[in-house]
Amino acid sequence: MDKSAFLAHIAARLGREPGSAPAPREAVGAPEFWADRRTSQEERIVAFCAKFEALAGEVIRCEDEAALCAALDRTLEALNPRTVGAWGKEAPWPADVEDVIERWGVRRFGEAPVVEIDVGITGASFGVADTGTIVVETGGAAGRTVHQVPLVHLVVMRESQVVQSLGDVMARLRDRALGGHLPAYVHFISGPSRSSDIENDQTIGVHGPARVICFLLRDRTSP
Amino acid sequence: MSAHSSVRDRAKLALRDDFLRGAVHFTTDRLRNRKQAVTEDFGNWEAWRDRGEAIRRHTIENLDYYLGQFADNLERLGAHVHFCADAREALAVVTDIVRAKSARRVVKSKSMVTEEVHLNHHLEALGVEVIETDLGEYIVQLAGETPSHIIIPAIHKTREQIQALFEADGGQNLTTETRDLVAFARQRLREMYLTADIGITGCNFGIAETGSIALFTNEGNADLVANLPKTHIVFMGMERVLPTLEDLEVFAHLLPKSATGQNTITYLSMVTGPRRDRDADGAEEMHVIILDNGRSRQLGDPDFQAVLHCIRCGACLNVCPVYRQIGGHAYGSVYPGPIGAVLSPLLEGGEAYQDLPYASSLCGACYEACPVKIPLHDMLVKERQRFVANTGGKTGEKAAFTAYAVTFADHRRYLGAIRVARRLQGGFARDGVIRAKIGPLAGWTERRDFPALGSQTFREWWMTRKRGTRRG
Repeated sequence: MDKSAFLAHIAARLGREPGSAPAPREAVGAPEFWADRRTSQEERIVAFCAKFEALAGEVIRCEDEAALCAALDRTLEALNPRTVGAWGKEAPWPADVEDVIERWGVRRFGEAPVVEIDVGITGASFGVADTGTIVVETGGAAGRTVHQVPLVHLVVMRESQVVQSLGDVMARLRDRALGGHLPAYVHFISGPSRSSDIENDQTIGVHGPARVICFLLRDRTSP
Repeated sequence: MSAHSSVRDRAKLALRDDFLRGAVHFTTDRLRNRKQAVTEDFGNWEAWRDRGEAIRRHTIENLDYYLGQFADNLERLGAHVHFCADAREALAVVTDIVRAKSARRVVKSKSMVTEEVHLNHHLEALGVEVIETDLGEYIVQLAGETPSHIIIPAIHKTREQIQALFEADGGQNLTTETRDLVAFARQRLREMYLTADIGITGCNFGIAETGSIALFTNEGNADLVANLPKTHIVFMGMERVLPTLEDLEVFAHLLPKSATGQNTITYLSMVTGPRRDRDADGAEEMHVIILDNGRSRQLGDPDFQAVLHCIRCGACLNVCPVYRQIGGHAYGSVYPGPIGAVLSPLLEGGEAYQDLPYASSLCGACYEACPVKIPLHDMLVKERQRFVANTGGKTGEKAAFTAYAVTFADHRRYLGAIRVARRLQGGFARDGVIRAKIGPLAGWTERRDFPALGSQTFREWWMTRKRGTRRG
């Protein structure tokens, strides 16, 4: 069916003039008591870690980049993967982990196939305190498959990227969209893949990763 | 489906299936209790429901505008948008895409709208292999059945049945351990994602302002379906839009909390058009099929427009005393439970599913559970009224109510009727109750006793009491 005819039919059913502006809105987004909360950065970080871990995600807090690279190394040693993949070099990495990536002979997205990797390493754009969510924006060297296909997803993030609410993330994504920069694919990840479809017995690692480990880098910007 | 049997017949069958009833009870109890815990912990649940209702009402009241904005944005991003009046048009669009791509294999993530148009059947008729990737849907598909719950499609299957289905699908030496069964499904379905020509997903919400498709899953299958094959087809009911990204926060709280009692969904995926020029993965081509299929008939109808506010969380199923007894298949429609009893006859129109609004006790638990406050119990009554107005109702029922009206309009007739009834019950009443399974009483006395009429009416008792008082 033709688009204008389809929309005109809906407008007629609603008694609206086709193509006319919507009525003014009485409510947009979350209730005011929720959107207007004021919290400190430290509270947000503590809440994010607690919520993410409650969802079976793992958080490793790192004092500086050297500690973060050491923690990544230790984790990879313990996992002992056959193949590791990571975003390309030009992707928006929140911290410099190139040394680790070089040492482990990691497949870089865009240069080598990543659909059969055991572990995928990526950055992230936001952490959400309310829900324990990591927000991964993809595009260019930040390929989507890097964190979707492996059994283990290692995410590098900075404390300053942790915001309070999903609404805080939505507002920033909206700004990107209005500027024409919203990526074609944004992924909100709250813990490992799970299912309760077999007799209600919860199990993890169904299609997505069975482990999600967040390496959270302390910011030195504030004293 | 409903042409061959009534909901009453199907319910009778379901009531004899003890495993089904046990499983449905167990699961719905659990979902309901978890929802209660998570919403109490979250707080201000009524304020969130009010906000959800306000956003959905505004969107539907201005649906032509938001749907137009949504489609314009998608087209600007390079997606193909198809507006389809009914199932036939939607399936024709799919046929064209399948032919253009010479597609042999399609992977799907969960979508109730595709069940509504019987998409799998159509694809198979075209010679295309269709694989459901949601674990529950995959199990149901292997069994050759349809989902029995909106959120937990395989609610009625035992792990032994699942093991047998997986072994028939190539699984070897599988135990009945969940971990084992899931590992088989992961590996088997991974091959499918990587070799499929087309991926088909539903759409939980379309964001008008940005042209984004929001998908909610716990397993992560929608992400692989949307991104690994070269072509991505999105199926959505035309009512599933929200004006802005900010509005999505409200539903990212309302939907998972209401559906499964989870504070948050594991994966919320936002797909905004096909892959960009600089992207090296993701679908190259994106088609969005926007379906009416009886929905626009509800617009402008003061009794039923709000049914389009539904976000398909399934919370009304979990609290419904009827669903909890008979399960999803007894409804015989794509959408089960209270929402199905309301929606199915509305979408279908005509005579189909006219008996579904009677599969309810009108207790109102569905309304209390609804995250966007759809007055489902009122709608069920209005559908019954409409059914009676259109068909004149059942002859027996009509006669009974006419007799009832005549009897109760006059107190002498009423007293006369009581005297007759007391004489008639004489042979059946024992110890103040009737147990005999006869005549119109059988439906009641089959499972419980019917209280017999007393030896005197309240009026007779009152008269003797008054006389006594006056004397004393």
